[in-house]
Amino acid sequence: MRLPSGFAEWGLALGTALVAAFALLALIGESLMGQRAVSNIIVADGKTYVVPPLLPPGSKLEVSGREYVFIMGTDQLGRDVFARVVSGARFVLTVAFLSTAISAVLGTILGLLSGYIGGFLDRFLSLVMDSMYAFPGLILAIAVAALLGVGVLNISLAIAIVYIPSYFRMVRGVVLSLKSAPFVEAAVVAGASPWSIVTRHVLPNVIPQIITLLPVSFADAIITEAGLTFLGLGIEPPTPDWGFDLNKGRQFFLAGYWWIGAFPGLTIILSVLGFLLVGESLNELLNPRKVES
Amino acid sequence: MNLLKVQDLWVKYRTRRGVIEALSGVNLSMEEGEVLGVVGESGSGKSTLGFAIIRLLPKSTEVKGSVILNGIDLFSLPEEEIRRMRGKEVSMVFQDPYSSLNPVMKIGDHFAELMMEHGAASSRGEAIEAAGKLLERLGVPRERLNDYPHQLSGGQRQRVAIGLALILKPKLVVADEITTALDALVERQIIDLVKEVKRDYKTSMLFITHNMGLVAEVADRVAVLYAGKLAEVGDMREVVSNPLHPYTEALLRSVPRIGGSKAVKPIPGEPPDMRNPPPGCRFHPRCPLATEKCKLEEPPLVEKGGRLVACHLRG
Repeated sequence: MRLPSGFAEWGLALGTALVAAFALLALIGESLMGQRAVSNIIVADGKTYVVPPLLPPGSKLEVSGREYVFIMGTDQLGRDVFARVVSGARFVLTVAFLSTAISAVLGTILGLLSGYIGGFLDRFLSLVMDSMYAFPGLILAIAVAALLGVGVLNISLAIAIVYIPSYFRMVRGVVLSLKSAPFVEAAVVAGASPWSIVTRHVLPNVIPQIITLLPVSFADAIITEAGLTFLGLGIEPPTPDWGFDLNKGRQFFLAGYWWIGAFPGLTIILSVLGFLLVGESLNELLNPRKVES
Repeated sequence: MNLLKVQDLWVKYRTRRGVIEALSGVNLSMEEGEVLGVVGESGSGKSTLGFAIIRLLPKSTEVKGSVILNGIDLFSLPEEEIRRMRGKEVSMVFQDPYSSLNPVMKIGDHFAELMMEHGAASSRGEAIEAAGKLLERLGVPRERLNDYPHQLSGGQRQRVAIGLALILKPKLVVADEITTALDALVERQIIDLVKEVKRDYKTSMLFITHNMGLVAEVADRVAVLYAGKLAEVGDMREVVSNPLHPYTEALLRSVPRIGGSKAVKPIPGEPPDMRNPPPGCRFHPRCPLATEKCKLEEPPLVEKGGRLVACHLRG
């Protein structure tokens, strides 16, 4: 196996490693950490021990002959910060995955309809989508999240709505240029039904563009999710979540307990960086114009 | 019975800068198995004629007259019926083979989709089998069915496009400038292929081109279009050896010939602006023989020696 060469390949390697690590955390993190993420009580030999709050990173605790290490310390309620960071991956990534999937599917369908049918429908949808696009994303998500309430599906929907216009605009643009492409015209002349023209001739030619947008909007969704839960929307304590913990930690930061917020914040940055690296480097590597040069 | 009958066909495009009259009262008929060449410069309305026959003009287009194919008035049919006829009764080959095939579909899938859509094959395998046979007769190896369009050369792609137009055995094939995007050598091969197809399949073909030389090779009859009107219609041999309309004459003189004694003579001037076509004979501003009458009075299309011609001087 050869080493990666150039920015794009290194970016892809690093990004993939980060994404894989976070995906693994999302899958097994919660079961690995068990109750430690949500409770300050350690049960050993039938007895319960209360973990003291605000332990600094690296603290050790001896409980009936077993040593517990808190590499990221404990928070204001005595919960293990490391356990919360690890367990938090599932909620964030589930929401990011769901919202990206919802917005990609809905945005693509609406973009196809709007671009292919055109006319009044196109004008109406474009107006709605452009107004949504012009609105600050987080504010729109806050409004929808406040309306829908807590829960994975609700917060995913709130974020999905923000990103529908990105997919819509991109798909619509490609469809408009494909609609007059000679091979589409040839299919019409050959008597293809509108359904087969859209699904067999137009959609397959839009998919590469959608794929390059996916990782970037996934990273965006993570940030928006963190923003919403930072504000306490869409999540119910004590569910471990990076954005929520970042906000709680902020209140203790000036008092010197920096670790409560710093580690969740760092994790947000790393996960977003991972997906952005994958997106950008894929974009770079898959772009035929750049491959040739 | 005529296979195709175009009666008093008027086509007007409404654009932001005015109404463009692309076809003004065109009458044509075609017999079964006949190749009719349609010749004219850019903007003469020859492609509009092709699209009107398969009823594929933009919705905003104003169309009058009728197109009768095999006894069926195409303009009176509902959209769904027209869609079923396209490909099966009338098919079309386009100018640019580089963009008329879907880049993400294999050649075989092009055939499979077309044949299954029209119920000509019940499975992909059946379609591939039939497509393979046809392609081999058209000079494309069967293995090409597993390739994507970009893996084929321009000539091969145009052969595939011709195959797609023939596979459902349509009554009429509209070939719109099918060699214009190809280089001279490949053009020759495709023209030879068209001649073979004409001989072996007895398909009627509307062969649209700006090149009088190509028409002389493949067509049985010729219709010369100028500015949306027919200038001359007649048997190909007669038209080529003894053109009646001055425009036909000029077109013939503008075809270069290797070893020819006469120099190529381009037609002076440009085709008229179709938002505002000239009064009288539409060719009069460029006609070397034009008289006062030509400038004022529109010449009717009249019969002369088995041919139709629209000229005051020659009619």
